[in-house]
Amino acid sequence: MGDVEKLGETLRTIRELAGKSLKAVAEPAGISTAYLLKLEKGQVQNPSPHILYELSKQLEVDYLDLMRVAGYVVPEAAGSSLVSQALNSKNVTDDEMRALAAYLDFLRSNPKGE
Amino acid sequence: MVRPLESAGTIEAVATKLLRNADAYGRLPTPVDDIVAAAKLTMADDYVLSESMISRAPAWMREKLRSIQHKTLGLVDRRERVVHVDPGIEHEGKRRFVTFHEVIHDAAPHQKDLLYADDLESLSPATRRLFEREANFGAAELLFQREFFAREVRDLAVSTDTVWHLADRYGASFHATLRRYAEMHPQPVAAIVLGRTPLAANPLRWKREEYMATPAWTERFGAPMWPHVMSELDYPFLSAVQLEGLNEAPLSGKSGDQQIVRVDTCTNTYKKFVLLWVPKKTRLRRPIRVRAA
Repeated sequence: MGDVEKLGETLRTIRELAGKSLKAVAEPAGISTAYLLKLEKGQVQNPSPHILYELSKQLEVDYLDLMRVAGYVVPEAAGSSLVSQALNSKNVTDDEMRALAAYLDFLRSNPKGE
Repeated sequence: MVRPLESAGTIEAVATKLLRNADAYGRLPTPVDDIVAAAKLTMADDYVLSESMISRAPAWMREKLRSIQHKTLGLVDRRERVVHVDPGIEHEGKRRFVTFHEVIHDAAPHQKDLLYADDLESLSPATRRLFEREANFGAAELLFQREFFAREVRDLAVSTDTVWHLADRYGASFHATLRRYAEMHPQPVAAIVLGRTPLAANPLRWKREEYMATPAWTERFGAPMWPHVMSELDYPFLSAVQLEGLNEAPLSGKSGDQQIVRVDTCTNTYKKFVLLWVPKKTRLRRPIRVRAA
């Protein structure tokens, strides 16, 4: 099962467990019921993170979990968190990103660089 | 042209809230310090990627950090709530844009709430690219104060001089202002960004780097699909580039009809810019009739 189908099934299961209709979730999340239905059927390629964020609020589930299921947050084999800082940069390699994350951790624990 | 952002409405709402909380509407250029404070962030005293800071890092990190230093304009450390902007950026408008870009990364709830991801997780490359686009879009919204810019351009004659004037007024680069101008103008307006020098002479051929058009332009001429290399033989309006001034050229409309568009060009240190628009028809006023008593 691909990320899209898995995400759709997750959303449908959570909604049904919460006993909420499509409309009750879609409307306050700012999307149409037709769009939510397509999402649940795994027919939406790359649903936008901002929509997953709104759905997580309506379904009272962890946004991060939805982002993991959607494949937007992925395991980082050998590094520190890369999401606690946002870079305005071009062509930074994964290795460099890891070094930067480690450096920021280092500065936090050694504010005077001791 | 770039595909519109699906999250545009969300990012616009974030920018609106920041502008309101900073009481920034109508204060031009948009006050950076107030926007940063409204986002509950602070500007770093020491740039985290300066040579003096890097020299304090463990030896194994330094080489990689120096490499990042050359590629990075700014970053927001969300845990420390601090924005870092490269002090080497000389253009004030660019510094402002980079700062706003970082503020948006932090203020967009669907980006911010990922702070608590596990230490062994990362964003997928596509998600990272999307978040970058969102931050750029939001930075432009803050810089040009949402609909405030669109209201102002309505009353000004279309020309590159007007774009220079607006760039100065909004404290933005000419390039960023032109992009905004050619996306939001109510009239049929388009802009093309070319390389600084032609690829070939006789006929003149240019590398096309970017283009944008207003909805009114697309309605009249269709969505532009200008190729990566543009020749004056195929696009006669490019002949105006050499003339460095105002000109007119024919262009096929959506239904194949020939229309006359105005062409204005200018150059900065790095690029050539072409502005195209359909001149407004001036209405002939009726003579006032005075009824005899």
